[in-house]
Amino acid sequence: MGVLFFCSFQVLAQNWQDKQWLRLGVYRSTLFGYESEADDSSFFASPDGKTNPKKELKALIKRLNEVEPDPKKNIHCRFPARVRWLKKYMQVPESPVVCEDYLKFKNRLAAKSISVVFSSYYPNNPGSTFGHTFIRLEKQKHEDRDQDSTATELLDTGINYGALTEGAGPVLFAIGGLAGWFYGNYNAVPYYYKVREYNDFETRDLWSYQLDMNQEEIDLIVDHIWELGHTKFDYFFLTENCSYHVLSILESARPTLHLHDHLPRLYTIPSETLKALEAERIVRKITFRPAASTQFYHQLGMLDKKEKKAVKELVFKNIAVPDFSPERKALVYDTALSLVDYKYAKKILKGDEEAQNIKRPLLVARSKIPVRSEELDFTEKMAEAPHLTHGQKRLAVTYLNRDSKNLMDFEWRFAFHDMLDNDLGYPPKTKLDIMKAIVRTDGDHYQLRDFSFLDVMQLGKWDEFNRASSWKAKLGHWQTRYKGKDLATEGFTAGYGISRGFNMFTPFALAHIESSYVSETLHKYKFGYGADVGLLTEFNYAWKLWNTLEWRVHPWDETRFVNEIRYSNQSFGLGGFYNTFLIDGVAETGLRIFKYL
Amino acid sequence: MKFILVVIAIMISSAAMAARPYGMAGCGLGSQMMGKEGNQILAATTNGTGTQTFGISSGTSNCVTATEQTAMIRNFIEANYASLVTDMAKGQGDSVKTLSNFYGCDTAAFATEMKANYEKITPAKENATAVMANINDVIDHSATLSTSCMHAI
Repeated sequence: MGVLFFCSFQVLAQNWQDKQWLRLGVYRSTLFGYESEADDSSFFASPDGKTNPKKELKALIKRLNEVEPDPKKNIHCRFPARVRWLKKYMQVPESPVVCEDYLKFKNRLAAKSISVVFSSYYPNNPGSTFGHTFIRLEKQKHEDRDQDSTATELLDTGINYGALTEGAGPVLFAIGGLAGWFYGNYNAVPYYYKVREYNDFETRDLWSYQLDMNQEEIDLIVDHIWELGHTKFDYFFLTENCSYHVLSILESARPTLHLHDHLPRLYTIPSETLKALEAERIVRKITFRPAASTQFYHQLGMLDKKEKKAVKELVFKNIAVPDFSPERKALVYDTALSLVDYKYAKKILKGDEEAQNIKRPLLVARSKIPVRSEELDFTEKMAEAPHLTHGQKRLAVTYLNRDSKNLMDFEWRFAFHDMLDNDLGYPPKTKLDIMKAIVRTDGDHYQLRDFSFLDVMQLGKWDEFNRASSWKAKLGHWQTRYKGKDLATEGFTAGYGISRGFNMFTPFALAHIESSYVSETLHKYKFGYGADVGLLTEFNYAWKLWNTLEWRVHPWDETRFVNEIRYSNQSFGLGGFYNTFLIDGVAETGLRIFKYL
Repeated sequence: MKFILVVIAIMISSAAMAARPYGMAGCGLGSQMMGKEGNQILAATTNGTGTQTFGISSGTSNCVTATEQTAMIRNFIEANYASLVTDMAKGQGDSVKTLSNFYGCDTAAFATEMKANYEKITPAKENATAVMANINDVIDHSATLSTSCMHAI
């Protein structure tokens, strides 16, 4: 007993600062020492555990000898990951009770492999650009699954961290999520629920990043998730969100992983966490699961004009499919079924009768065609994997000439993407600028030219199968042109309209309104309206051209013709522009260099 | 919107409870996964878990903890209904493959039989219990499946 006491004293002294111990306790170093991100006393063995990892370890060691018959309270059952870690350094007494719930959980998961799954943006929703990640614990080793043609992922387990937002309305949701008013917790769901939720219901693509981790590490992760699952955390949408916690879990299993080091302290963006996984070289393989819409457009792309027409007529007018060959007929029906799944996603999941009445005849007819569908090939999608996106921060330096004056603009953008940036991995024809500032100088004076809290624009997909509108919104500070002068203005603008894609050309037209305050010189409220009529030309992911007539006549004429061409890749870009005010012909011509970070 | 979904799902499931021997609200996505939703845009970004059903500490949903074969199969059919019936009509897919594994059948043979008996197996109105019963029937009467499926019920 004396020896045991001495050993534990040694262990305590040497290991309370052990990286893995701190990670298992989700401790962060602060000015005063350490603080755990967990917010429930049940996460700690010691009442001081939240701020004292040394006391926590001492309490853990001491309480392992407790004879606590209730598995819900017994230390062995509550902290299997920590006990597992401790066994590396000392002899640990066996648990006096059978940890039934923990064992049931462990057996249910039967985890042999692990992946990080990213659910991508969904169509016509720029806000979803942020993305989401969760963990999938798999019932087969990756290598075994590669060889097994009967293998499926659907019975694997999804481990998801999210905010508990019950009852919150949209405004509370937004503010609360940022301010940390909600708690977040973990849930463990059969992966098929996640597939239905993301692929089907929300029509979002799923990307699986298979990780290289051994059984010991996976066992520790399962144990750690059990510990985490019984506590709650303050949920911070921007910082300690889903992706942040995913990385923390992975780091707890392997002390040599430093995933968080690749990310800024002040915020965590899910797609950026995927880049961290790649940088730490733990990704073994990436697989792709298409959203309902992705699947539909992929199948549509395999059809010729007559077959596309047949799909449309079958779904919208119930007109029988012409006498194509069985293989082509099967493909037409498959495409039609995908279209129904996409258009009626929410209704189908609710078991809505109307949706079922549309779908069932198609299904019955398809079942009678004696052709088995081919598995769809999405290999080309790998080139658009979310870890390949351009960095979401952007710096730009512009050299311009305006009215014979030479000027320079310095621009910084916090997140994410605009119409002319390289859109590989990003939702197409979308602008989502968050916190962007432009400072202009003529060499002597500096002026804040433009500042957006939010500047969003979406050119909705409008084709024979889809009717998504186009819209825009901006909140911030800009310059109003009044009697030949530029005046500082704050407020918001919004617009609504349509656009349609014709190969690489997307013409658009949006009505425009403005509600603002001209804070310089005039000190007047300003309500304006107008229209944007323009053309987005996308030669490929990298080369884009923008031409727009910004028609503004009320309360005074500020109509402008804006033209910009840009080349950009994942790390830098180059552009040229020519803008002119039609009323007086004052023009800006310039060259712009971009760096994506 | 998800809140309405939950309310509707609960109302529908209460009405149909007589036909549901398993679980309270059924195991479909609508009744199990969807918590309350403040706003589509923001819900997509925070992925709020509005429901405690699958919480690791609570985790008492029969939809995931059932270990009995019949319950597991029925839960799977219900939660993956739309995808499953589509796969069966096509003769291939993840959902029908997973179902085949539950029964221990050869995937290709199972999918073929499901496709051949499609109209018989799938009722006009969504019903997981009926589908399972029909599948069991088809397996029993199938020359290929009745002998080769290792875990036929």
